[in-house]
Amino acid sequence: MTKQTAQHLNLIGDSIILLAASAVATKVAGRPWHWLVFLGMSMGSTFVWMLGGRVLRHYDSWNGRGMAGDVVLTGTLLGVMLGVMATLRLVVPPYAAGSQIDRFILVSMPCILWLRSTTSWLRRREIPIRQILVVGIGPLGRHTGLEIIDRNDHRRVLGHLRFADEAIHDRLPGEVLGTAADLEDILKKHVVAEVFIAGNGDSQRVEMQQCIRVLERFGIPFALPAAGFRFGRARPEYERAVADGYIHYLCVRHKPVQLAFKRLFDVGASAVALGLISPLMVTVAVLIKFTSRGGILFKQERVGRHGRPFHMLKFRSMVVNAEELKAKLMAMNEQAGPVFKMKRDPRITPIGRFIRKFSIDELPQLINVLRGEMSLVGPRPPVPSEVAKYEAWQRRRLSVRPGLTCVWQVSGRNEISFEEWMYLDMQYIDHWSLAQDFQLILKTVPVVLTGRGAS
Amino acid sequence: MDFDGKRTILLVEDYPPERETIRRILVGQDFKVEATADYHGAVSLLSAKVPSLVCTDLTLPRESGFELCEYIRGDARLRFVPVLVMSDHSSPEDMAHAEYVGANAFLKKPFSREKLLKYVITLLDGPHASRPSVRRLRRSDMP
Repeated sequence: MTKQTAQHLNLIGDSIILLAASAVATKVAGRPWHWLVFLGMSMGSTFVWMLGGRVLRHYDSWNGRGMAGDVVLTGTLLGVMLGVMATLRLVVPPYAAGSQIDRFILVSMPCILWLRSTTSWLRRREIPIRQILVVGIGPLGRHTGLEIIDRNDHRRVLGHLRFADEAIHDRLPGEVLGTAADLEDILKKHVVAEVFIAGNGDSQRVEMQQCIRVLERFGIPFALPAAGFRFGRARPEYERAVADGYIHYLCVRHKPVQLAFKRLFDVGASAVALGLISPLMVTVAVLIKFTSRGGILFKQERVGRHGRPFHMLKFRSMVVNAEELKAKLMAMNEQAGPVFKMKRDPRITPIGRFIRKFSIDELPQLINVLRGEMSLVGPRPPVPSEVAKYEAWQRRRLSVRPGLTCVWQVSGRNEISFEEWMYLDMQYIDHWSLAQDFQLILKTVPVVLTGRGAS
Repeated sequence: MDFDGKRTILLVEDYPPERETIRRILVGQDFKVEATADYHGAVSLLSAKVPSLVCTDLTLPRESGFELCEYIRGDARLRFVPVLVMSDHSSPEDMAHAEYVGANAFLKKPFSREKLLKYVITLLDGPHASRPSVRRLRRSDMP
């Protein structure tokens, strides 16, 4: 089954459930609906569902969510529908659609969740392939590469690097991309999820240590051979930690529980916030549409976690051909480093100046948060051209989910240098905690409300 | 090769039920099988006769299968006998170590009858079999 078919099946499946839920709700209500109301209800709810699903990327081939994310998103979508229908209930005459609406939600929500959790073909999505780099082309490197290929677990061997004392041979399953000394260049060119350092701790020690140094600077997870010795019988006591014969290392602190809570908070808070500020957003959208030529939202390609690109949403605050004008204005850049910032940027529209002053232009990114591409707190997602100019240590910013606000945004904003900004982001990544996230959100509020430091 | 035209396989496996199963599979294919439980049994059998293939477990009661490989590769008479290592200790490191000591192929336990026979026949009849230097097996040669 292709991923497109799977997506369509997901959509069709959910639509059928919604229709069925309408029917059941009618039945349960005791007093049957007029067939026109029934038709309107089911068509309307399916439409709202599809629209919401599209905005939130519910049916994309892969959207970075696991099972829990799916449940949360399905819940959010149904919440949206409940909102729409509650509004409808105020409008339509009570004899047509009364308490059925609530029943409808009560019936359809568990149905969809249940079906999604039990039928694998409905959940079938393309899982991202994690690209693995193997350093070493000797027997260990070769068997490591083969093992990854054999396991067939959504990993792909990008290629091998060879140690200086290893001669190229034709028995390798993958491509030799260079020597261990080329690691830094390779990491800059490719998205690498993990590096296996398949070396000998005696004869290749210096090169292995050098690789580790590079990887730590990049913040890329790596794995080292667990033993380095030959065992005829002995096995590690905690075998699960070295299940594949490697010890795996991370360059960020591993806090899975806190991370889950962070995501939960992200989804909850951004959904609630979107609901609360929707009047403001609609107003702004209308203002933008009628005061200048072009669309309401500005989609910009940004680099997300692990270097995966995504479209970050903003209210359009500039004229349509802003990107072309940027090249001409580059000489007047006021920020050192690869980022372009200018206090009196002539490309900004009048309404744009206002919404930027109070950061209203950033609000659509709450949708990015719901989609799972961003978080509320995290390093700002860079544009691809910035990343291309990053030094090795600065690329470590990409090891976490980017966010709406971070240390830099609450620290006086444009008044600090690029270097300092990167430094603050690294500090955030290294000392991340939920408590700090809440502090940063609280600190962001006054900064946004006063419009301090924003341009 | 024996006088009766059958090729001899030396089987080293310490666990009797498993040894018996493998022996039966091989005998069923008309191989002559000499089975033994450990390193010392293997060494004494090897001193009497050069087999066409050695199949050995890694975890043996005293010396391990690694040491047996080293013994075979260190003996001028036996140097070119292909060795198949069979083990459930099959991390990339284990497999690399088996290769370092001169094993020609590594069969992960548990394995099917078909897989065992494919490995055995490939090692016996493969392009490497009758050459003076036993070329290391490619993974692509293997099923």
